[in-house]
Amino acid sequence: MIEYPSIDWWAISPDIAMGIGAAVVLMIAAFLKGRGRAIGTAVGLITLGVVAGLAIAQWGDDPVSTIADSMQVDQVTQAVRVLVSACAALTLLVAFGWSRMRDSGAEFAALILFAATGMNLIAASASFMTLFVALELFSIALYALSGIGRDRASLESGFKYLVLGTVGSIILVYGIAFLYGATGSFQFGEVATALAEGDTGAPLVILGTGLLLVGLLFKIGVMPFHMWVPDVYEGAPTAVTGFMAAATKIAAFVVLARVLLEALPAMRDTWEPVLIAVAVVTMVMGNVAALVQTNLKRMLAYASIGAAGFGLIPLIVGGPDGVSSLLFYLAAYAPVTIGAFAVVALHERDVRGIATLESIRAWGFDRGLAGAAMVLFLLALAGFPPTVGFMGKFVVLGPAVENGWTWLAVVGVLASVISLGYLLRVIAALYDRSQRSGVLLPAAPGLGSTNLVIAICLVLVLVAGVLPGTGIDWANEAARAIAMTR
Amino acid sequence: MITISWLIGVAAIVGLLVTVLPFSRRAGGYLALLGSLAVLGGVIGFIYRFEPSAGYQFGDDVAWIPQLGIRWDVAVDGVSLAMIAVTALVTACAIGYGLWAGRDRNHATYGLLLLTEAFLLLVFSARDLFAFYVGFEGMLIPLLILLAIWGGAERRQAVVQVVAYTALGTLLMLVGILYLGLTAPDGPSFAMADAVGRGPDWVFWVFALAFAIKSPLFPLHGWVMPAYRQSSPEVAAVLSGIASKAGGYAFLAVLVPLFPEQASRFAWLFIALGLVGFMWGALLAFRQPDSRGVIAYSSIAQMSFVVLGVFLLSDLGATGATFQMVNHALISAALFLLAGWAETKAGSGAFAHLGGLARNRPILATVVLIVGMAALAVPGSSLFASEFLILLGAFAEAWWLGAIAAVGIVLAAMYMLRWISAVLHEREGDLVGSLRPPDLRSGALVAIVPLVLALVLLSVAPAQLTERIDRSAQALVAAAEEVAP
Repeated sequence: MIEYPSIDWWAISPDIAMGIGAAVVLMIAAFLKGRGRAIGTAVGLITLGVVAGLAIAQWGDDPVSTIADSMQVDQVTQAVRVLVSACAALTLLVAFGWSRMRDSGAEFAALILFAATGMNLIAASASFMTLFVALELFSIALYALSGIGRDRASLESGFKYLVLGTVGSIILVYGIAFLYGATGSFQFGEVATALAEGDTGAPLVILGTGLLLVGLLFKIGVMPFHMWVPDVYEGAPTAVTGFMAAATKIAAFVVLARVLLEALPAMRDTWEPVLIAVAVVTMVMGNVAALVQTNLKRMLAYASIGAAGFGLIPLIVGGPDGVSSLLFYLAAYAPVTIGAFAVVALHERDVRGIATLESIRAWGFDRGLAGAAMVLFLLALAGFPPTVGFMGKFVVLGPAVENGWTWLAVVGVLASVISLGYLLRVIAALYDRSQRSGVLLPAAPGLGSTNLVIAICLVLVLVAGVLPGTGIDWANEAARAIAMTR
Repeated sequence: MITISWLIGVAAIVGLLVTVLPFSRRAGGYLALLGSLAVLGGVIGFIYRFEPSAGYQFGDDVAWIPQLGIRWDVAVDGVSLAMIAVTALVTACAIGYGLWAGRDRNHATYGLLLLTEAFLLLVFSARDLFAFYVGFEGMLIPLLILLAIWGGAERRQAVVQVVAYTALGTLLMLVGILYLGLTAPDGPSFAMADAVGRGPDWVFWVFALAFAIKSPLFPLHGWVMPAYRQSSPEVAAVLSGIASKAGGYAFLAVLVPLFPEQASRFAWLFIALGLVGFMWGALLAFRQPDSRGVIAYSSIAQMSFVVLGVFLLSDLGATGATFQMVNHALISAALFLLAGWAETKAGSGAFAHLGGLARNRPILATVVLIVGMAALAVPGSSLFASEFLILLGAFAEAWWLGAIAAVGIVLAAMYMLRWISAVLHEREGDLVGSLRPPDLRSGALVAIVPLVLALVLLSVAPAQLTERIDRSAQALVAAAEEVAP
């Protein structure tokens, strides 16, 4: 007689809903062919709304560990569900008017939903099996999304991402296998117990931890595992780039936090120095590399690499404060990136080409809202008050200073001074009075939804920047759920 | 009752709307002017209602981000009141000048000036370190945008310099503020009152660095020259007139009261730097080939003198420093507007091409002469009064200190006289001859006259100002004065 594990259906209902929604949209794509764009997007948005609604309804429930302890549904999971759903919804809106959406709109929506499902699952993983399956789910969806533009750059981006991403996954699997060999379990809690009682200096354990770390750092795109980021971000359709920069980061960072703090707390002496080195190098070099970029998407890619390095600070600090500030930082970062890439997408449709420092000259005068919004997003990336970018920085640096990581905070601050160098270049180019842009073609169709996204992000960036209290409350509440040792 | 929060709100909201919404140049400009006049009206109300013995007034104190112990705590004491008053006046004049004298401006420039004012008002009234920081760093945004987009031909280098200096200093201060706020004994609190005397030396230094760069204090003035040269006249007026006061004010109202022990221990260093900067700025001002150069270096000299006054850590020094800041704000704003006007009309600010502007231009000659006389501190002028107060303080500290400082004041007279004669008199410059710039009229005149009038008023009745500030100034340095040996 086989014993089946018990399943808490209510706790995993958002993931099931997302999966069903994705499948339905895929069917729409199959049967309605080119006409599925509007219906597919609408069903996608409704699904995302339902998922976010269910997650909010579950907010405050006791943490649940289900399916033989391979999934854990706690407030962190709920927070990720809401955030990823919101990112996905905004992405669908940004892409709606995009020309490729006309013949493969429903496929696009389906892929976004599959990716979001994977991201939600990975944030709920309590075992390395769940982690790996979910990781592959969203990675494969993202490979396809990167290549969906079908032009040379997009295909190259998709292929590059596929090859390099697979290498990353293989390294990750290797690490998981070694750790399994050393501890005899995939489950985070059991791994942690085994490591706490066993020999943390054993070669197998060290090797496993190292490979696992490399695989995960690869996914969040920090140096020296960042090579794929600029190429993929540049080539992928811009709406997808925004989604990757915001949502993928949220999922990957949260799972990294879970692995480090729930499965490998005993290995802190091994991973902490690695994270510190990676964080310092990434914050500084990511922003330095961005200084010389002229392609806007590449520049933002390097900026997001630098931001990922900054996001490692809370993990190094650890504890409830660290996790809380990580969640707030990721949430604060999302509207800024999605908004910035939405503006880039709008610009690309205006000029029918790629966005460079040259192409955006004086464009800000022509597109008032988008230009002003871009300025605000760039200032938020640099962490200026009173934007949400500043609060994100403030909330991350606070616990760092409080827990004796002042020098790391200083490095983070220096990195944001460097970032001003290129962000201000973009602003100066946007409003370069020395020449007229002359790029403004008759308004491209379908800009309405993109403009809507820009406006939503603009409001979020300002309001959450001035009144971040509620967001901090949520982050604090969620952070209490992660089992933590310091 | 109208509080300072209202004025900040008006400036911020009107500023944001004018910047972002697609106004025409004139509509945006007049709306911004209206906003700045409303703020000015509110400030005049404050001046009347101000009670010198009542401490902090016209304030609000509400929880802002309670999770982090951050409060919206703003209030005005005598020193704040003086700074807020010049901020409101200079901003209104700058917007007016930009509106009437500049055809190439965009509606956003006026909105950004108003936003700068909002952040500055916050700096001058914040009683919470977080709010103070938001103002201190936030004001960089509109100023950098104004410089980066509407600056002169070499604006890119200027922006790089400004960012490298000011952003660096400001951001390092953030780390210090986080430390002070999060290590408060009863849970996180960013209230200035809770931070008094708690900071270790490194926090003192990051604060001092940020303020010294902003002031600017010798030798951290590298960003000043390019920024003042490349800005449009009204932005240069705001930068040197009031934005730089954020540094001087912060020395007096934040650094000294929060770190009384360190302030008294390291006072000698700041006094020395202030003296060197005062002399050195004056000497360089004497050698500059153009108006902006003279005004910029004189600003460095004057602000160095202010820092010197603050770190005398005495009643006289602190009152004098505040008074000096008010005077310098009015004078340098007026000078930059005048110099900018001459530059626009004559096509160059270099003395080689100017000269002889007094001929057939009676109004210009009169205004330049009044401002020039005020700037060289002739006895009876308000600047004379404030310099005299600081000098008295210096003599009280040590006779040789006062003697050296007095030499600097003579130097100041030299470069101002040279400037007046180079612009107004001497041989008629080639550009003046060929372009025939008109006399100062209507728009530009209306924008500059209020500054001149304020200077005249302060010269006639300096006590109106000093009696409002001296108690507050004394209170700010009291703790440090006590520690001093």
